[in-house]
Amino acid sequence: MNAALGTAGVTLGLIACVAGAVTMVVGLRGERAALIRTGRTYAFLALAGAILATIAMERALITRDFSLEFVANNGSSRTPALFNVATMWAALEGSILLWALVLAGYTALIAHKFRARLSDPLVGWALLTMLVVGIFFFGLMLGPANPFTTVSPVPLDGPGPNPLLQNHILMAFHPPMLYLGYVGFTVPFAFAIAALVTGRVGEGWLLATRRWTLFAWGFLTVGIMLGAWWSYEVLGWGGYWAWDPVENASLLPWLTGTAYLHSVMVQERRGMLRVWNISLLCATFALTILGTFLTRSGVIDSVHAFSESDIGGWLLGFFGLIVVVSVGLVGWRGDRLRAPGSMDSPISREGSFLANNVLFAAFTFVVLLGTVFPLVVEAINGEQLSVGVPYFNRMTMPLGMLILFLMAIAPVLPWRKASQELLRVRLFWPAVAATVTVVATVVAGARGVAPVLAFGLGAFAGGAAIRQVVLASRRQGWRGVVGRTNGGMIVHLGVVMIAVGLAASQSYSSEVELRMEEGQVATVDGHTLVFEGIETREDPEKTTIAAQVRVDGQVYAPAINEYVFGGQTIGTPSVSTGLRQDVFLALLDVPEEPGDPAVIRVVIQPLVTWLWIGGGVMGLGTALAAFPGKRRRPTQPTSEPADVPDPDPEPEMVGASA
Amino acid sequence: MKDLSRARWPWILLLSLLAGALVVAALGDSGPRTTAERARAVSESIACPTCQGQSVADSAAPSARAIRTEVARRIEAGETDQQIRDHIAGIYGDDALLTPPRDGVAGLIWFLPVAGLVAAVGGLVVLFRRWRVPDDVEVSDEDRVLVEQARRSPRS
Repeated sequence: MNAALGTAGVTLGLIACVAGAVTMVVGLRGERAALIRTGRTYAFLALAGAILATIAMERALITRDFSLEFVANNGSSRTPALFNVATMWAALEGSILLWALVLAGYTALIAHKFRARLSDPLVGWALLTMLVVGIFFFGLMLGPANPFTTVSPVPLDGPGPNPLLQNHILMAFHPPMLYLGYVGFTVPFAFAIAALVTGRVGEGWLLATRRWTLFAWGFLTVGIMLGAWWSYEVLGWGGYWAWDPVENASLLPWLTGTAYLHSVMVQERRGMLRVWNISLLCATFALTILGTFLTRSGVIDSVHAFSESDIGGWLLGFFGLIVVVSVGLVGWRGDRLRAPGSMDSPISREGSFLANNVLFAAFTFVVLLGTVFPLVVEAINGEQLSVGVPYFNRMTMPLGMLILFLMAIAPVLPWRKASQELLRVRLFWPAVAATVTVVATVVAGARGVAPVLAFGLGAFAGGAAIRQVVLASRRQGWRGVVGRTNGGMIVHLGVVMIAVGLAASQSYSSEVELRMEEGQVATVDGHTLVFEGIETREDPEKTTIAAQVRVDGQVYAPAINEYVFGGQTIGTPSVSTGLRQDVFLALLDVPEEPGDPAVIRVVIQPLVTWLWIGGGVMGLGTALAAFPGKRRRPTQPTSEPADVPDPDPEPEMVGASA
Repeated sequence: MKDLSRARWPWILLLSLLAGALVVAALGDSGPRTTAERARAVSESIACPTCQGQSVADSAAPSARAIRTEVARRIEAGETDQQIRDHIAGIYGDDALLTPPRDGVAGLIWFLPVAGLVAAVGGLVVLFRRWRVPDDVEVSDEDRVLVEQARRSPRS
């Protein structure tokens, strides 16, 4: 029943996408507006198919229909209800279904939002591109990643999802968020392709997709941060980012997407960087597919590689297709893409956006190189090597510092050209903030150039962001925190929090393994730890052995879970969270007999919480940036100051009112 | 306050304070010194042999803990960090080290990003040179008339 329903849904989705794509091609080629308008119906049908398939999958998981291979392999009667729902994205086939659902959702939204403009070739080609991407993902589900294959004989029970994936509430939110971001970049990509095909490579399509890109980026940001948080809370080594291939796969499109969000402003303002912006969008979309290939095909080992299959060839083929189509189209439209303008000075807003793009491109290159390099070298000369945390840290840290520096300078720069005096005036208070921070942290005992410099640059960038928001709020009231520039500054503040959290927690963490007997007291970095004994709890799916550890008066229970099925044992750390410091506890060894010591790993890291707060602030800033600002008349040149009461026209306003 | 930020001396003061503090921060930090700190740093650069994608320092697997103990023992015995890494690579192979070598084909991973960045920055410098408008542009009366006309024409 569920299998039939699900297959029907997937088939409906595929047929709708194929039929929609064919209709659109015929309509667009023959310029038949009536035909193009029916494309909307197909987008809704595809969404209906995806919803039907998702309902069938969730129904199968919740009712524990083990006749489905996916449920038999990943579900179990012992899994708690919430994780039963989340099991859909705990393995490959279900995550492709989630991908298709989100994609169909975006496609239908585009079809609905642009319903009045559907016969406009630009929108038509964009919808067509999205339907073609839809064909690929629905096709996957009828081919190598079929979530609705059945098994016989029907097993009585299943193993449940990987224990690591049914251990924390974040599992219910992190993957959907990430997919909303990942898949969301299909929208600007589709419009970029449409712009190339129709030859309307001006700024119209950028404005049409501005908010879509912003939302996709915001979801991806929050998704990545939730993933880091999940690692921290679940994986039990006290870290949150391991430069693991799966993590890198989510970071790569984020990096190119971030570069795009900045460089797009140069194009809107000056009409330059057209090829570059289109390339960034194509790269962002291609990298989501490449990342999925790297992590799902099994070519790379990873701690998060929870599913593998022969889907690799398909994804690699699709990646190749995207690259060929994008490069081909850009080459074909080369003449129209050439920008007329030039830049006056590198010390200007547009110059700083260029520098931003160079740094983000370099960052992307380092992460991509580090991820695929072992594969490449092995293919060349058979040499086996690993690229790990030390490489990524050493290579990306200077880039991160430079980006922070730029975050301080760029927001105060005007367009066109800045004078030295203007920089001195505008950067004065941010520079004071930076100096005070550096001196204060050194006086407080912080040592090491890298972290102290990071704190200083963080204060510098934070100062510049606050300056912008304060000036804008003084002039515009509550509107001073919304709109692209001001919302962007809130995002910058979130980035600063994350940078400071990273620098502090990486540089000033301390770690010990304690061997404690019951009642024993230990002091670590000024925290008093008392091991009060072991508590054991039996659940249907697992046995939990938890150590009761009193940290500064409050009891925490790091545990080891022994899962009934498959005998897997995983730890569940427990964290005493604080704004200043986290005390992270992981139980490594339980006493075999009463009276034996337990082994507890204690990791003390300062300011870790600010990573999660910073992620939240970035999400909030994105929402504020998407908030509709004062509308300009379309005929008004963008170099005109925004139409706001301006009692005190200072030269500073010019740069701030973009 | 404007005058304060326009003058030069506050900036000189800020920069010297900054430099002083950074020098103190640098002098106070002469690399990992205690055995535990060194052991942590070395373990971070060794891949755990039985778990995928984690370093020895981060993994709770028995093999990783065994290597951690071995690293600490060798540090106590007076070996340098590099000697310990070489020893581990001798046993588990070169891919046990998470830091790729700096020579041969593998060395490209260090070289390529730096070369790319230098090339990009160089390209931008050339581009800005080409874009630069000569300072001695003469403004002719004809230009002034054009500007005046543009300013007078009503905005559409």
